[in-house]
Amino acid sequence: MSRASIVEQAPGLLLLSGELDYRSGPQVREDGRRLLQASAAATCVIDCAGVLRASSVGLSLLLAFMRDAQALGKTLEVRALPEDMRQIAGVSGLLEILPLQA
Amino acid sequence: MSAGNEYAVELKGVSFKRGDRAIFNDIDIRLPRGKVTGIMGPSGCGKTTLLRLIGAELKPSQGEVWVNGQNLPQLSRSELFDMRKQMGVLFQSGALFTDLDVFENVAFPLRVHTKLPEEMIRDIVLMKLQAVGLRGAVDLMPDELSGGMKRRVALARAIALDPQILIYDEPFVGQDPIAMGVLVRLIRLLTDALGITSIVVSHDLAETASIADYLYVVGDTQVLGQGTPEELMNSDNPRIRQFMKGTPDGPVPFHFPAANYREDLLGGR
Repeated sequence: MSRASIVEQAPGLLLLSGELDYRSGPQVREDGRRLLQASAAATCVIDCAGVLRASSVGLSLLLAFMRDAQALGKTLEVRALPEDMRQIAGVSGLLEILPLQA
Repeated sequence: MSAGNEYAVELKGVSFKRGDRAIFNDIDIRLPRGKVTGIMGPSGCGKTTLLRLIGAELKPSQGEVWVNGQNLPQLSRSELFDMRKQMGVLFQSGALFTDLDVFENVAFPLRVHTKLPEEMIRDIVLMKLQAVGLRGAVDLMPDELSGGMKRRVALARAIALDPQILIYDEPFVGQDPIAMGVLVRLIRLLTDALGITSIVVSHDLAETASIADYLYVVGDTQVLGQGTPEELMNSDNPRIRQFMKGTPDGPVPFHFPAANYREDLLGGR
């Protein structure tokens, strides 16, 4: 049962999709870590356009991938943050911390 | 009713009795999704009982309690367990675990209900504490916090699992004016920004009326009135007026029914 996933669509372009919640979070966390480690790209982009619904877990995933990228010496950017994630990010003070693409 | 219904919670024809005493008699209450609804009434009118019916801690003697499209009295134990994850409760007392620090208090529901790795639990705890302005208190113990801070930590814990429905049981009791103002702002922010359905059960009229989009006044086993705060302030109903204006005597008498005072004092026994 996969409610959410992260896949590398093109070198350095990671597509995050589905419902990011407490059930799907742990698996997506591990998959994202593996993809970032395996990717040859120096700059990675997480594209959130396919996220159907997200709780705070979605934001935590982005933070976790930022920590991974930092440890690997890669640059990470976040694209197409959906509205519900943006609202949670706003309330939690994360809009200034996430590397959001303009 | 579906989850997309405009009401997150609906009580239909609900009656509830304790022994022979009716607490509610055939009441109908509808709580709009994504709004703040205040449930008000004098002490002892059954407000907390109402919350326990919505949380399925109590079953109605009669009637239906719908929460997010499901009729609670018909749910199995495991379905109820899932349903409760969608609800956060800010208890009257705050009810923090006194032996756990602030971090572990907020992390508690995440540890019990999820299998998230430690780093993600930490992210979410810090996000929730940031939202209530207390990230700097993460290492403190509850007895190092003021009353208002305890209530805010309890709120961070109540939103840890991102509930769709958040119940505040007498959130303003015992709070100083500044702490009250902070709570009022937080309730509004969480409702508006996160689309949470907020239920504020309170007898603090001014604070509740200041944030509620809609109010119910309950008492004497009935819904005495409902409407926007402004509508209720201007109500012609003497019971509503007595409550909203805070007059000691009116249709709801100041004195609990008692035997004749003279006889009580001077004899007849």
